[in-house]
Amino acid sequence: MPGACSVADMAQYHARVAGRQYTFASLATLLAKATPARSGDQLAGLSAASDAERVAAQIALSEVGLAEILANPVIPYESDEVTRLIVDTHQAAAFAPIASMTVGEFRDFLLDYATTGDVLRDLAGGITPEMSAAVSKLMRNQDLIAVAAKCHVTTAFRNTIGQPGRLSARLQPNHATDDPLGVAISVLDGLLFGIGDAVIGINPATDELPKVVELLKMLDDIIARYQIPTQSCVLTHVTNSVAAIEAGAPVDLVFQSIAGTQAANRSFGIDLALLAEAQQAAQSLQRGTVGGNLMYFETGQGSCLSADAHQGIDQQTLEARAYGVARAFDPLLVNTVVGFIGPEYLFNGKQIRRAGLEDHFCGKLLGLPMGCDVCYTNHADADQNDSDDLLTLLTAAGCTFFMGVPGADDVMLEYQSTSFHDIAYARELFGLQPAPEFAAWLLQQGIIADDGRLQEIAAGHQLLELLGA
Amino acid sequence: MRASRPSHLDPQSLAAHTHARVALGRAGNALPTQALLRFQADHATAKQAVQTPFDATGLQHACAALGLPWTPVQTEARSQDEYLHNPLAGRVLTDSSQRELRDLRDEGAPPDIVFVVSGGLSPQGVNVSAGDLLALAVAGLRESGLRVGPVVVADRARVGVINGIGEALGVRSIAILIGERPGLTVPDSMGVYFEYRPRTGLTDADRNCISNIHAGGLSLPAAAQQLRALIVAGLAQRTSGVDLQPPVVDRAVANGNV
Repeated sequence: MPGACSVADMAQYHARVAGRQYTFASLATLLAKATPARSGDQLAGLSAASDAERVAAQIALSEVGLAEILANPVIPYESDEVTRLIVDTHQAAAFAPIASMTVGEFRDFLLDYATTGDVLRDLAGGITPEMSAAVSKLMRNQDLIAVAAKCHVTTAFRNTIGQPGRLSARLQPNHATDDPLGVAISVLDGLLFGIGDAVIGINPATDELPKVVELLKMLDDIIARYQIPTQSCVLTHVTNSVAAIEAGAPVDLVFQSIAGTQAANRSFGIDLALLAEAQQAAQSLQRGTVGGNLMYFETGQGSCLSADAHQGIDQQTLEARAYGVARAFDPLLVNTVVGFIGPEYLFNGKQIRRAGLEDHFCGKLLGLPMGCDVCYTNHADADQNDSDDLLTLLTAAGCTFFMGVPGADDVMLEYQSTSFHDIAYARELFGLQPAPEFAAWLLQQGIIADDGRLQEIAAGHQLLELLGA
Repeated sequence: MRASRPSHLDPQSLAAHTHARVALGRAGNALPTQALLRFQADHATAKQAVQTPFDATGLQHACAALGLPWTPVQTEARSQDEYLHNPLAGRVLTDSSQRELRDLRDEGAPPDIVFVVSGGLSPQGVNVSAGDLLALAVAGLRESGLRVGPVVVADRARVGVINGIGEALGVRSIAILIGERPGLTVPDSMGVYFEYRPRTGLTDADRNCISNIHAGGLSLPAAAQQLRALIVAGLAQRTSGVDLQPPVVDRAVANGNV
């Protein structure tokens, strides 16, 4: 781009590309137009009109100061509690080392040899979601992988998640009618593949409280009976989890879908106060043995647009703001469900891959235990090869956990995620082990050998009792 | 009891309890070839269900047999690709279709219920089930003395299209039969969304849904019975969605095709 230049001028941004001058009226517009192409931003009318305009926006964005981003929230402080949370919890001392940088300089800094995992950990509280989103827009896929791989985020409940050299997996034993034996069969199959250290987490077919409590008790029984060092979760609305706790149910983790604007969270029936109330209720049970992280959040680009609550902000910046919500609650797990929402937001394997890498990078940079549901729906232009690609790239990036779904086919939610086999593949290819406490249990149960590889299961193995549950 | 337990290596006995792909075995860490190819075949089937053309002619024959007039309309989604890309386009009728519907408006005797049919995300599901469901439901509604309006055939529509269709026709209530997002196990499922006094601005919260209508799910007679009860309740209570006292069905849930 010879002759490219940019000037920030009273919230007007300019850059010249391919002989044409481009002007961007606001920081929000600049962020949106600098975003790699995706169908959701096109649907919202926020996307760059051409590759040249997109690069012009990236050039102009590279010259914007991080301090300017901090001072100009994309959604006003007065009208949005997510903005207030981001601004009020920003750590000026942590921010000081990067306070004078532009977004472009920040990218170079993140990639520098001297910027180690320890440096990034100390910096996390000074980085806002919007800063992480802005710098990601200037990064190639390899940059997103390289920087995320430097970040280490460790959390704990009944085991320790996220240590270097570890790869965890959620066991997702969903069933069309929540039949207990049907669920137990999938739990058994997953355990025998070394899956379930992140959580054994069911998306229930119904949110009816008695059914939710029944599933919670069933998972608690399995974990207690076989002394499995892991945690359970029934992914129901946060108000349902609070009700279950009040009813005396064994709630390990509290699940909730979250988004990056107050309005979108309202459409989910939540606000920050409700999340805090649920966190306190679960903490009062003191069920964690190794640590106290007990929130499990799920996110995904496009959720604000889907709820008609995007307020003119691109879906990737809003996704990063959801991580701003997540980190206020010290979660055990944060999962971007990247391809679930459908092709109107991420059209094909290429867009899903890019979004998955962005989400993981932004989450890790902000200090979160980031996992990814590498997935797609049958009306998206994607297949198992696309999932293989993103799974492999995210494992290289140090992703904390993935989903383990029997045969990659979720028979309740009707989409394709990653399988037990996929997790075993990723662990072996990169020489990774499950969470340490869980790995020790797998070894003791004869499920894995000393080298971490899966073993043949003997006919009389005690876990097979689950089939008679 | 122990003797009756299925071995974990026996997928057939496990299949009685779950459709999940369990006990697949492994080749190293990977899927064995047979399981791999079965998955690929199921995925191809599901993708085909999305791309299968909507059989408007078959539906018109079904309407004719019921003595129901039908009218085709177009949404702003001009291709299946645009339909998948842009949900907004599938919620809006073209200007000419809106005019045609307004010309059909019967101010003197507005219909109690109008049915819309769209292929949605599984035209295959609608091709299989829509005509038969209409036949069963309309018979019951006529027994209840309700006036059933013309069937609106709207390919490449989203659920939200019923706001504009209902408003243009001036009907008391409306229901859309639409193909649901196909899964690997069920590629041909159909859902029905009901709305009382359809008008611009109504959302999922104002709708009631009957989903999972297919050969292995909710049967056509059961779906027809639920639909009739829902329509009768909506007209009696003059509302729909979360405010409707549950007659027999769940309230609207996002199903991937709204």
